[in-house]
Amino acid sequence: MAGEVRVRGVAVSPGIAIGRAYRQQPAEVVAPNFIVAPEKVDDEIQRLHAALAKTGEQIRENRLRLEQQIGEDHAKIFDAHLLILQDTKAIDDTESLIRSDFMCAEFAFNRVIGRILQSFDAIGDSYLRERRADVEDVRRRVLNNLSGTEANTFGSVNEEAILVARDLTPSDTAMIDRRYMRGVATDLGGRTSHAAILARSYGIPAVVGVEGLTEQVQHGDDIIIDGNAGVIVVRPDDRTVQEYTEAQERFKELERQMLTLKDYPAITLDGRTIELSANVKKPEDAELARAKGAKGIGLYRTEWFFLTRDALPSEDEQVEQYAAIARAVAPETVIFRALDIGGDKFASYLGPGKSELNPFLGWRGIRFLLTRRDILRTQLRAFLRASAEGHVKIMFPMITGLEEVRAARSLVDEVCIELTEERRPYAKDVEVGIMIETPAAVVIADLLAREADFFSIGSNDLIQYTLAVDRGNARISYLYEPMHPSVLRLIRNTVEAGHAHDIWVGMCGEIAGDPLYSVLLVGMGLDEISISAYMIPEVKRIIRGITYDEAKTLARKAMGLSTAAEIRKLVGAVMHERFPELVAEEAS
Amino acid sequence: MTERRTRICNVLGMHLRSAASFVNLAAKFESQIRVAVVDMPAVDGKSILGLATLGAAEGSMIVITAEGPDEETAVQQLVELVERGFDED
Repeated sequence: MAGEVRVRGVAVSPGIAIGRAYRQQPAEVVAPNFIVAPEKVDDEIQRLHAALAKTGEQIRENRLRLEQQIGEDHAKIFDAHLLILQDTKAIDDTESLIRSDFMCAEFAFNRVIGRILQSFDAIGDSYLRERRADVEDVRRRVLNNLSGTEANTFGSVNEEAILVARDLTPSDTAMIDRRYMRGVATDLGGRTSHAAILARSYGIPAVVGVEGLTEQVQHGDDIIIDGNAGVIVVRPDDRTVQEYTEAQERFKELERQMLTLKDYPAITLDGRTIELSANVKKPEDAELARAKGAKGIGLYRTEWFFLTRDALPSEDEQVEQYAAIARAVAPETVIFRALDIGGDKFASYLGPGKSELNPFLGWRGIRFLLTRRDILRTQLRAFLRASAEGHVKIMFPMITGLEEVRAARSLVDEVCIELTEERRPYAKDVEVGIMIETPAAVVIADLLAREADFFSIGSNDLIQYTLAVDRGNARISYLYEPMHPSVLRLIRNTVEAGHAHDIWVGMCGEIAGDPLYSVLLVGMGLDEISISAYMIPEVKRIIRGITYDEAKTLARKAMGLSTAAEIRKLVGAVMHERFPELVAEEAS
Repeated sequence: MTERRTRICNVLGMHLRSAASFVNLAAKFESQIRVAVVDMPAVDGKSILGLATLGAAEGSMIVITAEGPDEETAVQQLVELVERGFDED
């Protein structure tokens, strides 16, 4: 394929990337099928063993790499991969197909593994059935080594690349080595798809929702991602490359300017301070958050630690994680969100799985935690033990009723008594707050505010539940509209209820990290905004450039409008006028 | 031939890592070892792929059979491993 192609999608993470496309390998591997001459059978078997040995080396390398990057526990799965590779029965079966049926090694191996994969499909338990992915992984490696083609999975990205895929799942993202990731482009998804969130949290440009993209792009194609305008250029000509190289320079310069604000607070010109903190998921992220000028961690996603392993972490393992981030962030605060599992985040060993018909309305968040009190109790113990080493707050996800707040709080109290009895140190004044992410919680926010120490609005879920729209469904994702008047009213009501009961109200969803909405959200009275570390310089610069008065005026005007389109138009126009270098004109 | 029944008691069931522990222990014995979920076809107890395709979830009753010079010890130790939940946390 040749010739420059321009396609448009949704710009979800700013910046410009110029590089080579890394295409995710399609799930099916095609094995060549040729007949082996009888006198070559031994050579063919030797070729099989050479490929198995080479695969073994690669797996051992990967094990080492993952062990260094994420930890020993996650790397253990590769031990199982090695055993698959040494499975005597599979090897014997393959050899006998080569010997008696004169199949080539690829075809024979593929047939043996194919039969095994079929048996996996028949397994009733979804977690056990999903293990077929590991067998497929090994099969792909062996076949690639036999045919001498490059292993082409995200886990093996080892040079700078722009990832091009239909979509990214959370487990894909766990395998990606961020050092090599320069940009992301996907066929599916919207502002809140995993690819988008991943890209924003890594600070790399991304454009998603580009229909038919993967059909246009070959592995290794030159490609440009313009995460500001939402444009992708495939196989750009020299002039285009030149044009984008200049744009890239301008953007980098702007970023440098904004970073100079890192040690200053997010304070408006007339003196209202916003706690501008970062959303993170690992202790190592603290360094980045500080470098970008965050004031503490407003959302620590504890589920990441659970999702990137195969079994429940022990209390001590959790304490290690939580204390590490508490120490790294001190004297600022870290807010731990209790395990938010379910919805689109699964760890099969934890229970909720894809078998639920309606997972977002299912066993997730606090509902999961209150039925798995063993898990919650261990996690609360770990949070509180970590509180001895820094400033810690705790919040609970997916609250719909006061009973849930009471049940969770009483468990916190029980755990405190236990720790006192065990003479383990913990901070006595740990604030316990809740996520506001269901319309129900907003409607009874006045009742919840009496028994919670703070509110943090999870805007992604709040929007999804309010507008009854699946944010991952491309057909209706246009309905996912942060500026819908209903959404703004719910935010306003939450802030008012919280302030009426003297508790602070923050927001940790994706819209909080979109500079377009910064002024509006400040004007609605939020006390805290927690976002991807990479977005902090930009949002801070906006907050420092406005008065609280003008923000309130914008919020009031927006609240007076009747449709999302009108609100967008107003917000876009004001933002473009005030910050032309940050907010493009057609930002609507 | 020695044969014993036991129940899978770890939450994850016989997944890849637990199958790996089983295979590593089974490989120490000379006896031929077979494993089956009750009333289902048996698989080679020294094959991780065989074990992983059993689909033995938590609570499944399995049958471990061994035939050979060390069959009694083999079955004894393998049953213990299953009952310890494959030594998972």
